[in-house]
Amino acid sequence: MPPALTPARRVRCGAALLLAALTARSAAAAPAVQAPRPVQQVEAAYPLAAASSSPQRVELLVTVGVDGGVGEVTVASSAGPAFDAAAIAAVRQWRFTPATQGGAPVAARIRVPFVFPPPLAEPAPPAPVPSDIPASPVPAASSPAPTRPVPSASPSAPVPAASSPAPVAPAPSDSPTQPVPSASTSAPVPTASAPAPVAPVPSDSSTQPVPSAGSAPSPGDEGVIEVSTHGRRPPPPRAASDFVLGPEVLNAAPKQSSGDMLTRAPGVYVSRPEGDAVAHEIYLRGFNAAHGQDIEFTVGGAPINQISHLHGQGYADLNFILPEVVRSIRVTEGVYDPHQGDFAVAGSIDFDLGVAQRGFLLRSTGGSFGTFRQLAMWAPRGQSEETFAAAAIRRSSGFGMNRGALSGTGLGQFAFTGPGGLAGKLMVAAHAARAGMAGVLRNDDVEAGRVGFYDRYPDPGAGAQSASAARGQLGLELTHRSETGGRTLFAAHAALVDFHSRENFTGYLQRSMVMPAWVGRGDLIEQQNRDLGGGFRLSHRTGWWRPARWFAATLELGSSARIHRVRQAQNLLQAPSNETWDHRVDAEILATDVGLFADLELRFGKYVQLRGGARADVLHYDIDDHLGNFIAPYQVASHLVGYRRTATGVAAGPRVALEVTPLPWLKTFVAYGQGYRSPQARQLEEGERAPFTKVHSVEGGVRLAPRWRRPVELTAAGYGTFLAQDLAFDPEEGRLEKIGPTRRSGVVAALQTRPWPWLQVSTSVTYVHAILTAPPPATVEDPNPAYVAGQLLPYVPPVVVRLDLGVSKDLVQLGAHPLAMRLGGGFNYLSARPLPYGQSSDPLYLLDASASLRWSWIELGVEAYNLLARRYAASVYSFVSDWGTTPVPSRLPARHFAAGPPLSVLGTLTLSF
Amino acid sequence: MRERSQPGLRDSDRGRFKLRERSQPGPRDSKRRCLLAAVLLLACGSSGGEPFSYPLAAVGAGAGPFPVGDWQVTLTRAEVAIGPIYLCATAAASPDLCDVALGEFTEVAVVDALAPVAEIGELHARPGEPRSAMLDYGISWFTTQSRPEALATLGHSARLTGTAVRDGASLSFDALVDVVPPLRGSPALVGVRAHSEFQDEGSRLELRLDPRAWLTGVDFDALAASGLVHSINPGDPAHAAIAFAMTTQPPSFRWTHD
Repeated sequence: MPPALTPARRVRCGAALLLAALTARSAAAAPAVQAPRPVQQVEAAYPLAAASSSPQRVELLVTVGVDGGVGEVTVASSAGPAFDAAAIAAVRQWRFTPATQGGAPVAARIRVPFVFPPPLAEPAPPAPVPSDIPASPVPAASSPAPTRPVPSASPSAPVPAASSPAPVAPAPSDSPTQPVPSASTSAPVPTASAPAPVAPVPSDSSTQPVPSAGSAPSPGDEGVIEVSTHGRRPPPPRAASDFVLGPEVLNAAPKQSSGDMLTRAPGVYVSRPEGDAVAHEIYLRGFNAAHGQDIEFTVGGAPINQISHLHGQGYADLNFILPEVVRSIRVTEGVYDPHQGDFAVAGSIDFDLGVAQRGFLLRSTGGSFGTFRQLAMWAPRGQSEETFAAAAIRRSSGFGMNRGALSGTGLGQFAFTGPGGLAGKLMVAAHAARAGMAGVLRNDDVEAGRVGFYDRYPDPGAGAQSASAARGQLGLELTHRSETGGRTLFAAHAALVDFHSRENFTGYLQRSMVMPAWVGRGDLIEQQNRDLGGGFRLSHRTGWWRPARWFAATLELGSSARIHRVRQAQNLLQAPSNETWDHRVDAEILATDVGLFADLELRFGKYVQLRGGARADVLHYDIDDHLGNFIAPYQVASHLVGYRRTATGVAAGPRVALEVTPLPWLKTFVAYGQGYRSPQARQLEEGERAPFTKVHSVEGGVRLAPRWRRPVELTAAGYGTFLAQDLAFDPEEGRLEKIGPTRRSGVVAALQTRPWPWLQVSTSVTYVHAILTAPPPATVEDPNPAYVAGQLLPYVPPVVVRLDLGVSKDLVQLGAHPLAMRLGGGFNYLSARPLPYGQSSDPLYLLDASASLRWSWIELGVEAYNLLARRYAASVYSFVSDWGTTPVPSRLPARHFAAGPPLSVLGTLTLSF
Repeated sequence: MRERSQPGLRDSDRGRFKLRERSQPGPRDSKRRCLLAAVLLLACGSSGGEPFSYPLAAVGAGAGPFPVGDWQVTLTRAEVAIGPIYLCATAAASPDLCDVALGEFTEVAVVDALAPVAEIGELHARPGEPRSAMLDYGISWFTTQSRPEALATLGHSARLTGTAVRDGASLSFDALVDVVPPLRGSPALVGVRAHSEFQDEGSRLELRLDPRAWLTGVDFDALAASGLVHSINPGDPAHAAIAFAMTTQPPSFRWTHD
């Protein structure tokens, strides 16, 4: 309710109206003035130190020079020094096309409002929004959005005399794994049609003070154009366990890679047992997702998982993602969104890339084990957060024998806007890495002192272990917003990804298939997988349809496609000359995935929202298996090796989520969905209807965000997943093999809070009861298989606990800049993991910590990993091996492990300017 | 890094349960049944059983005398190198069908096959139902070895010393026997029948060695024709007969359970 006008205000308003009328007349006589158009826009960072439980609004008056740059900035409406400073810092990085008058650029003053929603806000009520625009739910506490301004096209904003920006509907998710609208969505709506009043300034005097209504103008001030900001906004959560990790959580504890950042998500544990050149091994809520078989990974919506990868189905190498450019991560645990595609079995994870701190940044890191990393990053000022370029090299001697690594990464993204609501971003990435591998060790050998914990076996077959990876990736995304709130997305991507590994898990057990008399030459498995592929995504979401005040609906229809050509080979090598002594795989695969989905969102008043739809994917494979129908040598005279075949199938299923908000601070969710994982192509037979691994996922949960003085968000959920065919690591072949259907049920609880402005706390506990329901039955050849029905799922820790603490505080003012301190800590606990053959691993608990001091453009820091100096196993297995360490080889399954890094200390010097 | 015990039902538990079904229940059985029921309740999601060990012993057949054709043979010394031994779940153990064993004795012991009972050592095992075995007589040819090697201090698979008497004539012999695996990566004896419905910490395995049977193929008449004192070595027909018999008449496996 606007305040009643006092006599004095009436006078001022009258004067203003008169001035406006005069201006209008003069404008009619003079050439029309075209308002400035923002071309690059940077969002304001939420000042966490001044976090507030209510929305904060800052209005700035900004002078746009004839060159489009930002000149004078004054605060028209203050929300306190911290919020004012955040808004000013952001707007100073904006760039515009200058206002024009008669075709000549002129300086102009515009009004820019920023709205900072509370970090833990409830959804905005739908009622006050324009009739065709639904209410925009303010991002939940787990989203990064609290640190960003949200769209200020709020009807509560005073309508200025000049342009009224077109309101923008909440950014619909163009992908379930893309929580953040593209650069275009964060770009302001150009006020191309913005009429006068613009306060033009003679173009030859850009520094001349701009006429304005006063030093502290009020809404409606003459000569001011209002330009709206449209902040990043995650799509609405599909379930309670749909988390968005913002920078405050991601950056609390130290991290060495983008994969490490995933440990912040509830139920996630990440390790790297195969060195720097192999993808992380990831556990998510009862799934041993290995290198990605059960998690759909995307970067800005572009898929990362590789189809029919030889090392592991769904292999996803995240090493090309530099952690410094990760703005947020959405972790959707479960399959409840029609956007989720192949490999979304345990859930999906999307990396959103962006750099908030603009300018140049150089970061040098060095420390334990000859580790050195150099990062150079450029985030051009005045451009979107999503525009940046970064490159890094890293080398390390490794924490033990044969663990040295060298890698290089380049990653860049350019966000742009076009006319008519068109926006886009272009991403390029290149990555190359090579690393030695110490491989696995038998526990009994370490206990007996036959080999050191961080060593490798003194055997040529162990010393020859290594891996290398190379990737080139290109992605383009275009979005268009219509005036009615509809959104159209087109994205295309292409990548060439190469993988090469040499690993020996079992020592000397293998016998040649090609020449059966050959045995004992070492089980050094060579794998090569080269994947060239690309695809696109196309979708359109309608604007909101409101047939009644209490009802609104929107529909999205979309399609995605991928086509990949995969060349893969697996051989046995004899070290140290790496002479090939057996062929195991030699195949070429053409894999195609065409998906269609429909996603409907219905809103019933303020309290009930129903989202859901269906997805269907047609998967087609053409396999040229050069070693198919392998025959014994004595049959060579009558047979030839080789088997070509094709298979096609459809995986379809519904996904639905119900969200009820009975109280402003309480949301309840119920969700169900069916997902799928594509099969390993080489395991398909001719004409087979592609036996997809189907998953049924169900969850019920609550999310509480009490409106306390300090932000608190608590999430609790119970879930269940039923998987038709699971995979587990087979060390004999060094890859994943089928182990039958599995069932998981469990609970997750997560808390995120900021008890004091300088302290960020995030913690979670996940419990899962995961069992094998029908493992492969006993056979004549294997009457005592490794798995029995009802046993706990191997490698899956029943309990995962994570705690992140971040402290950020200004210590003292030194000159013009404060001396700021940052402390961070991350703690992981994993309960004992069941292993095949009835064994189990030890529990695991790890602590990482960091500290840094920053003053102006320089920051000094120290990071410590495995601060408790635990000797732990990054990965644990149970199988038979013969490394020649005992006079007589054992044929009993034994515990093996790949050592995790010991205490590592790294120093960091960061220069930013 | 010790192996951790874990509650839950093991294969061995199932085996034990089957046995008890055939016996009369007593107070101790009732207690065990309660315990078993508790274990069964906890068994939802068991990951199986942990490895364990139990004793392995050799049972000899005695010195004799025993007949071999017209000869009465008496052994004065019968040392047999035995091991490694692998227990397998398949009906016919072989390296291909027993890449993961149910039990093993990964040493080589030299046992006195004339003694009624000789303790060999501990057999390491995991829950399951052994159905066959494969083993060496002290000479193995592992995948990493270019040729077979004798692992026992004996240097041979067996040493059998004794006398053979016929019609007042006495022949003494001293046989050093080598039973060599025929293939690299394969034990000398594969597919040896060895069955037990279960095995657990309370089990005991006895290998019954019968060196008397190994001499039945020796042609003592031919030996006597060439002298009364003989050293039987590899390459001799008598050696081939003994080595052949040692493979065709392997040790028999007998389990007992507490």
